[in-house]
Amino acid sequence: MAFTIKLAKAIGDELAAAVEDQGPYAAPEVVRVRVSDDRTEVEVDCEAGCDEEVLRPQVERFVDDFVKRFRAVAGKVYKQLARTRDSGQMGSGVFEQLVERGWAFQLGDGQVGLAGPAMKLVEALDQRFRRMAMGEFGAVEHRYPTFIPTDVLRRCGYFGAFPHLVSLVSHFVEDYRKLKEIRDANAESDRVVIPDRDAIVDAAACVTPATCYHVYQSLEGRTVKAPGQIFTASGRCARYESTNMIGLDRLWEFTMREMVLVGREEWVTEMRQKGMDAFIALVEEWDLECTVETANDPFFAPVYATKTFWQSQGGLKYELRFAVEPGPGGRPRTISCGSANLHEGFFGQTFRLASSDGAPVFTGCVALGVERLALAVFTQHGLDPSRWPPALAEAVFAP
Amino acid sequence: MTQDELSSRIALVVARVAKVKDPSAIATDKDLYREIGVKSTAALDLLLSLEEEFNVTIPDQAFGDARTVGSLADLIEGLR
Repeated sequence: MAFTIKLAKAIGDELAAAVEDQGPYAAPEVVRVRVSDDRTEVEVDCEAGCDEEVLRPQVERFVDDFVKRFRAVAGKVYKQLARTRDSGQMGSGVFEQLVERGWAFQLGDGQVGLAGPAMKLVEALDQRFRRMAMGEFGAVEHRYPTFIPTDVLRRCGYFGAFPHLVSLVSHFVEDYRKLKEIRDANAESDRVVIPDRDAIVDAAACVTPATCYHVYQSLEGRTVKAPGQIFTASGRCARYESTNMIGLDRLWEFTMREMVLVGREEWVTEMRQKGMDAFIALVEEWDLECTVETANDPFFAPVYATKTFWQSQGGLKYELRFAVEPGPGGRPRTISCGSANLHEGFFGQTFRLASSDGAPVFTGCVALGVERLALAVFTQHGLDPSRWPPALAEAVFAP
Repeated sequence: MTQDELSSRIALVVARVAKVKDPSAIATDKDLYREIGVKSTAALDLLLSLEEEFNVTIPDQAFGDARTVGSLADLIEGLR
């Protein structure tokens, strides 16, 4: 079943991409949302047997929330990098080839295991970024849990800005009777059965959607030495991406290495710039095609317009986007594998951070999405080490 | 409309967006975001409200540069 929603006027590419991306969240019955080529209509594919009269108003409201107040801000390309040493063709069907070689395993929606060179590449990329953060910036390394208290995520504004991405961690209630019901129902069942939904307790924790939130929480109420301090951490993160989760492009659970900046506003701004430039130097070392440009986070529909305007106008977010294999119809495609961000004073205020010189505390971070970057490396240099930068080839393919 | 009247009307809009009770307390030379209390995430609200109030289209860059009631008054005056 499908139906079409007419837009009051044509929308731009950025907004169209956001509407398509978040389309599966419009209603459980929605399979796919596509904006027409002329950008004046939204085509909605739904499960068979849906009642359009019920579904249409819900999807219209979703689209309206996105579109009505959106104001596009011209993007800025900071740098464009081309491959200089490898002129080989971009790979296609890369994830499938990794699976075929036993270097990747699709274990569930957005859940991928790695082995062999794919595993070694992820480790090498993470460690190289870590060496940059600690060697060039004197970052102090922290290690954090995969979970984050739900209330901390709330204080970080996550439930207001990204409720669609949250991954809750729950457990069964401490109640022998209910636990026994679950045990009995599943003893002979070939699928998970939960006879009583009340047996699932409210989630006191979430899988963290970003590594840096832990840094702000760990500093809560403390004084940061002026002009600022730098931390680095690598951790497993989760962002639920519905039907968009494909291969290594969009994982539900993935690795994020971050360099986190906490200090005076002008110092954080300067360090964000230096961190982004150092990240770009790594991209050159890895000989990868990449565009560094202003970007927006995937904010939820009702706050998309206000938050993206704020982020774009302030130049608060830059993404490092890497060329990967073309999309449907041969359209060139890039994926974001890293970002350099400023958060203004939000986390400083939320977590009552103080600067030793009395100035307000600002924060920023430079982040690397490790598995995605690994996909970009395999796509751009192939699965054979002959085209790879020697140091990376040595780290990944040496026996 | 005089510059003072224009500034007063802008201050009314700013007060609503920043949830300031007394618009007359908003000095025309104070930074809206750092001193008056307009949240940076409310910038689009402020921009759209000003466009509606004065029936003008304000360029994003110029809006970003105008960080006081006084500079917004100059900007809007130039667009009318």
